[in-house]
Amino acid sequence: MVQPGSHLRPVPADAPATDLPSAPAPVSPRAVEQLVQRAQAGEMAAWSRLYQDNFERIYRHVRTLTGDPHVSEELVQETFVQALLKISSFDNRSLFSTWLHGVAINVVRNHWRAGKSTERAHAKLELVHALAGESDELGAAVHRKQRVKALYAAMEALPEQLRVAFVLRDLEGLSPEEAAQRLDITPGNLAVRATRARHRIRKQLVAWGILPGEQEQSK
Amino acid sequence: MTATTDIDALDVLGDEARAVLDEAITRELRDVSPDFVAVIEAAHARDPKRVPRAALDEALALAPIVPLSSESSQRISIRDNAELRALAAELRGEIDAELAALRRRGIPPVPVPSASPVTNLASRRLWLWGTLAAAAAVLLAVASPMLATRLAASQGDPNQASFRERSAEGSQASEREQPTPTPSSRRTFAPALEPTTPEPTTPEPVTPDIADTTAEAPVSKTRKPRPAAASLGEQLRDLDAEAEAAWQAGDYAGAEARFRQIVALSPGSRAADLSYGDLFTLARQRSGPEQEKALWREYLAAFPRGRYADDARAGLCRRGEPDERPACWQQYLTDFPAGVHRSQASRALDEP
Repeated sequence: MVQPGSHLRPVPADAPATDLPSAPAPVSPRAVEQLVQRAQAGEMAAWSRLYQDNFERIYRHVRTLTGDPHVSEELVQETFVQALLKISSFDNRSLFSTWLHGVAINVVRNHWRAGKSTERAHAKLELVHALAGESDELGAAVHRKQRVKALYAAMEALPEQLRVAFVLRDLEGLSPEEAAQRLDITPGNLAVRATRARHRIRKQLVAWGILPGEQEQSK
Repeated sequence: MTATTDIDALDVLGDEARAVLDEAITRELRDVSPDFVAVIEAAHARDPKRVPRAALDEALALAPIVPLSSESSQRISIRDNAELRALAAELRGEIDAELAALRRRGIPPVPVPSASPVTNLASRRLWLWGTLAAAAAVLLAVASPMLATRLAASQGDPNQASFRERSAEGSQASEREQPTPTPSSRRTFAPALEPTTPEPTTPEPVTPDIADTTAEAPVSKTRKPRPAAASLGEQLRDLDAEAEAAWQAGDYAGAEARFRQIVALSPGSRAADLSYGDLFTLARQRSGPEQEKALWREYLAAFPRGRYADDARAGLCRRGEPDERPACWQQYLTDFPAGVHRSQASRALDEP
């Protein structure tokens, strides 16, 4: 979908003036609301501004959800495509950015569903074997990336709902209320999901030897 | 296993994940090209009624989405840099060749209004040379400040570009303390410190597309000596790219030699600090425990508070003589009260 470099299109000399600054300035909630209204009316300049203002934070969100830099850019683009097609359903009950994050979560979920394959399981096994040969002799810093990969591998085994809850709470550091709002569930429900996710992840990481197990801890 | 220790261990991993992700995302965002028109094109293709052709035309007429941060807008990629230099070199060569040919033929007659076709040709050639020279001058005038800016940035931040694959966080202090390299040291590639495993320090040719990214034009597949004028930042980036390429090609000795060169070229710098991380990994794969310990000690002597100091210290404590371990861990806790290995240190001290 994304064509590298295609954004570098020539700008016609008589192109209409655009309000796009070279670096996006902070936009007030009222201004965002107006931009959204203009976007809902089909005004591309407004969409362009919303895209520019939200691209980075959606990229961060998607990247944290997937842990995969290779798919994140495309999923972000897909998020904005979906948002463009669904903008009429946005009813201003939440912030536009919150709604957009929700769209991104759905896009990532679809990606996860499409990606269920033995390939991932094999990759996971490979990772575990690779880590099994490494003791804790050197420690976390050098192996930090591998440990993070292991964390994401453990997350692979989680149901989507638990995985998203864990990412929002533990990796994005959102408050229970914020995370619950993103998922349109109650904070209590969110807390249950996040706790279950942590329990399962911990169990898996202990089994892989990434986190200390009961016997090691008691030594 | 208590719930508290479990949660702590997972929390530590969560903290690590956040740090790794934040660093990676920041790096990736420098290279991401937001493409608004591609979004509109895709939406139009899926639902032309909701996103009509007119919307696509409107998007096409808008200014392109600019890079997200001021930093990225000021960046010149290595490839762009190399291409610019290649073009400038090509132009210079063309002009030099034309001037040499002109000298061989002698100065053409001054054109007069009633000039013959021959003198008209000469006049056109002069105009061509003049145009070429002017174009080159304009190009160099435009390119030089950009290159200078880029090179200056490279000097100040060797972690850019080729160092993107590794941590962006780091000790600013160590950078500030970095001694200014002398011209001779910039061209000295022999490591100042003995490598863990002695290897030839003369790099072998590596993957051309990586090794040549910053090479002067014309690009040669055979690695050329680095130009004397190459800045330290450029040399470090070249070495890092070569090390990565060698590593990927399975040439661990070559990778190790290059990381050693980075350490020797820029002692105390962030680049050197990062290179030690790779040297640790290589040593673990290729050397014995004693060599690893020697490397950790060497690192700690250079970077007592470096990014791997915590781990190196803990590694030495684990591998220390049994009767020395308690004191080692005690000292670790004193020096790294919030260290990643503090739990293990405490457990070791609690043991009878």
